[in-house]
Amino acid sequence: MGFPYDTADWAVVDGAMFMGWGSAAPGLYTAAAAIICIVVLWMGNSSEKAKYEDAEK
Amino acid sequence: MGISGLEYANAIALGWGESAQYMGPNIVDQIDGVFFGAFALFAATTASIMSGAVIERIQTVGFTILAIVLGSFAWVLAAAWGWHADGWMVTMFGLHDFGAAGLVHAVAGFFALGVLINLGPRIGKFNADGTANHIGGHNMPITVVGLMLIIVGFWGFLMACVVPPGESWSWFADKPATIYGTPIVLGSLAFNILMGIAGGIIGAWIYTKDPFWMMSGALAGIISVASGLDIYFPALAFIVAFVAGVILQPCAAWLEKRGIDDAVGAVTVHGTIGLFGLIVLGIFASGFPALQGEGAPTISLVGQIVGAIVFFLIGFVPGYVVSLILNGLGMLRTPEAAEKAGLDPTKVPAQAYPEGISASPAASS
Repeated sequence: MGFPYDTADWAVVDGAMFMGWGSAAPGLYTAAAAIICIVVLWMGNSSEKAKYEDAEK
Repeated sequence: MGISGLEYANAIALGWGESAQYMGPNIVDQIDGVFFGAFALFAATTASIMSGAVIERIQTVGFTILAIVLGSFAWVLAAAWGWHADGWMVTMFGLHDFGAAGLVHAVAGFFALGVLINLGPRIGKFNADGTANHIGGHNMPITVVGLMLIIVGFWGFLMACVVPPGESWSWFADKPATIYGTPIVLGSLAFNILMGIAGGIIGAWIYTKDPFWMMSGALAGIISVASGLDIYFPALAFIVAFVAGVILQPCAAWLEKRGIDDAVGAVTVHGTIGLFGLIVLGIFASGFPALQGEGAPTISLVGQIVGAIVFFLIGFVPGYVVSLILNGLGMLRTPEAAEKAGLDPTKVPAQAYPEGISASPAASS
């Protein structure tokens, strides 16, 4: 991934300075984080429904 | 480098391309991340206000959907209309709600009321003749500590309503401002919050002598003066908060008599007292300019009442309608058997309270 500027020198930094800046990485990270959240919500709701059904038996 | 609102919104919504630079570490923007975090906190706060009212019988899926509607739509609409220098309630009616008594607290409180009507009371809350039973918490000291933590958090919450100087979008280069662009002093803001706590807790003690209601009174005290924390004289803030503390429990009892089971009094603390504070400010701060510059609209009782009505509707209507739909879809209320067994033993593989934990076998010598 590397330093997001042509020269590895802090003096050339004029804005963003995080890993992946200038590439597609931030978008991929954002998409992955969103997918994790949605999957966890789905898993949690499935688990809760199953437990309610058990309680009603 | 200036950052427009659109650029920052893109940074949040898209997270890639040029806009991503403002969301990650950079050397040009000190405060936007803090402001974004603060507003995300306000959204979460609206859901946490509702959560107290609906506990012990709501499904997580229903609660999550309601939290999204409240946190990402209802209060945001209220903020756009009444917590922005271009909001129509500010420009047309001179609405002033610096600390969000109406647009966060009242919106969330009355959203919760709309949900409670469809959700219904907990099993055992009301008797056949309509009288109410008290369902006490498990641990009063922990309850009080939790309320104290909320009170401490209020300093951060309300300080986050201040626009700091020196950023590209600041109102002033050298002094803080409210979100309306009117001046504010951090020291007096901190002191007025303290006066809100003091007045509320003393007022609730006068009427109830109950630690739960006293701590809730402290919250109510802050909320009652939140709209005008930037312009109240501290002793006046104390008096307004004192009245809020006195009327708090009777207002909650009034609601309970109408069959509403608000488990922690959230509708009253946040909803009723939020609107009380909003309207009271219209009495004492009438004539104060609501915005920066010549010809600015002024705060008035009528303007604050208009704000109170709008905030009530923005909260109550979506709360009632969405929970009605969720109820129809079977996604609102937990099954009766699960509620009687308790949601912890039903859903969570752990016991939270001593009465549900079996004694350990005695250690052999």
